[in-house]
Amino acid sequence: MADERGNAPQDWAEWLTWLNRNTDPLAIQRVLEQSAQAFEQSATAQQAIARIAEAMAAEAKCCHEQGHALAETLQTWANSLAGHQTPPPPLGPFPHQQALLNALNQQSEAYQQALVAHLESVTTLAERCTEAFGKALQTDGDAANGQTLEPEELLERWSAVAEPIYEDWLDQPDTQRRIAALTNAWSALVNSLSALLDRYLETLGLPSRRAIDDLAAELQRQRRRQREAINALRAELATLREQQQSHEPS
Amino acid sequence: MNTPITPRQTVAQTDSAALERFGDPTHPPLLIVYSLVNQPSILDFAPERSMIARLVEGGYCVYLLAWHPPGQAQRFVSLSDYIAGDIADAVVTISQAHEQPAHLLGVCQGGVLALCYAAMASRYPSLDRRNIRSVITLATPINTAQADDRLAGLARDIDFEALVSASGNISGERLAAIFASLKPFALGPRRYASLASVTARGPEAVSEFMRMEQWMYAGPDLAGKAFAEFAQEIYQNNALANGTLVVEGERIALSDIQVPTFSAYATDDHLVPPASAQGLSHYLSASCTEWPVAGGHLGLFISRRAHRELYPALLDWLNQPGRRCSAATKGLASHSQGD
Repeated sequence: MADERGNAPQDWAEWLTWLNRNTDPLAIQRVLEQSAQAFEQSATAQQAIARIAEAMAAEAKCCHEQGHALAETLQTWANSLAGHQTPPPPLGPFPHQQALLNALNQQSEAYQQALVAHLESVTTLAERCTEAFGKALQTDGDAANGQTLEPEELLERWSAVAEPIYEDWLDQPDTQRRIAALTNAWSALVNSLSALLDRYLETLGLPSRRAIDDLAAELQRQRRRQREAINALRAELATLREQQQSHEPS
Repeated sequence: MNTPITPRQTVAQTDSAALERFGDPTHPPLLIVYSLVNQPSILDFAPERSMIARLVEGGYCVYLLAWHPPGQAQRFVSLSDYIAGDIADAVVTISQAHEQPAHLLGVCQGGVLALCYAAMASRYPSLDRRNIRSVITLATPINTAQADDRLAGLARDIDFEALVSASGNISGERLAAIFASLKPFALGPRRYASLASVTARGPEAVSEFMRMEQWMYAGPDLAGKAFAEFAQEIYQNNALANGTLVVEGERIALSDIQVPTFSAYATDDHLVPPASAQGLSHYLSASCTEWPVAGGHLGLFISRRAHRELYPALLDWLNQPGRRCSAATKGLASHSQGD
């Protein structure tokens, strides 16, 4: 029991570390451990793949420093994984269900990111409004002289200061894009969730959203057909009236 | 609940609306096409601030297409259904009953629907252009490709197909919250801070305040498909101005409108900015009178200024020779009824 230089471990902990390193010469265990940790910390399959690639790259670097021959192979795997951005295709039974669950995961993440971006923007806006209000009060004669302002007056001044800042923020293309991104992310998430729930409801023999939509669409199709028929009759009557008028003596 | 001010009678039902009549049925008819957003009670808000009452007093038999709030079974009702279905049915019903063509007055979004109908009527034999005498639009978005059109800016990148696929119909309460978020200070702290002074003016003032409150926040849901079409076509594609809007399979060209048009807009409107509402005459080949009114969106319907200036001017315009029913036009119209 000695290291590469022939030094023996000094205590049990060191001995176990030494044993771990030396019983995992291909770094399989360490890569598995790091991959498991990476996977647990990931919200989506893409994140997990990226983190496993990072773990492999770290292990490759470690192996390289130790002059281990495995370094090159690990780095190749890491590069290969890192370049793999598209989600893996569903394999095995229930591919549609798998795809929906995968989409739900990604859309949930996208919605949270869009929400965070919007809330951060709102927080910045609130800070700008508050700061401007503070400055306005400092430069305001009555408030600067230590006179107490009536609540109504304070409210009016707050509105007068904050409203143009808010409207300017709302008119910014970035704000409008963030709001649209949040709305679109919500729509995508709800659509996936709805499709997934529809499958469960239909499995239980219950009416699903999809079934109700089909009925509503069919109802509207029938109404349009009826309207087309009525309009065709009206057009025919209008033509007949014009013909009748043209034959009437003036 | 918002209690009606002017007496009314429901005279017919279309697929998605009740046709309500106000005033003397022997007077010339005027059909109001209200927006699909919010309740038409704003048009009959208080005795001295009722647009409907002004028109009735001015000698018109006013009809209102009062849209039914859509249920889930109506989520696929489209703009075509409203225009070529409900409006067409109402126009035919009215012109038959009066034996003369009706004036068509569109409010806000309803103005877009009315213009589309008028443009289609000139080309579709089934709609018969002789059934309408003129078109009036109030606060109607015509050209939304304007820098200050906040609704267009907010709508620009939204996937409306996905939105209505997710939500079905669009909740009226949520839409009201979005409209309120465009002016959160004026409609929030400033408005509620004024409640004390409103209270001091007496119970009638409080009642009006609460009626407005209910009108603002208890709007009906919107049919998902029609909402998505309107948002995409009018706000994202500016299709009415560009002449690319398709209704009932046909492109809508405003230049097809063959009746005189009157267009009023508010100069401080944050929902339909004046730059978006003005310039209708630019797209029409028939005569068009544009009438700016100082004030905001709602002021066009309920402000004292509008009732002092706009509605008398509108009645003068309606009463000009050729726009009131003459024997000749009545005879012509009488031939166009009977289906």
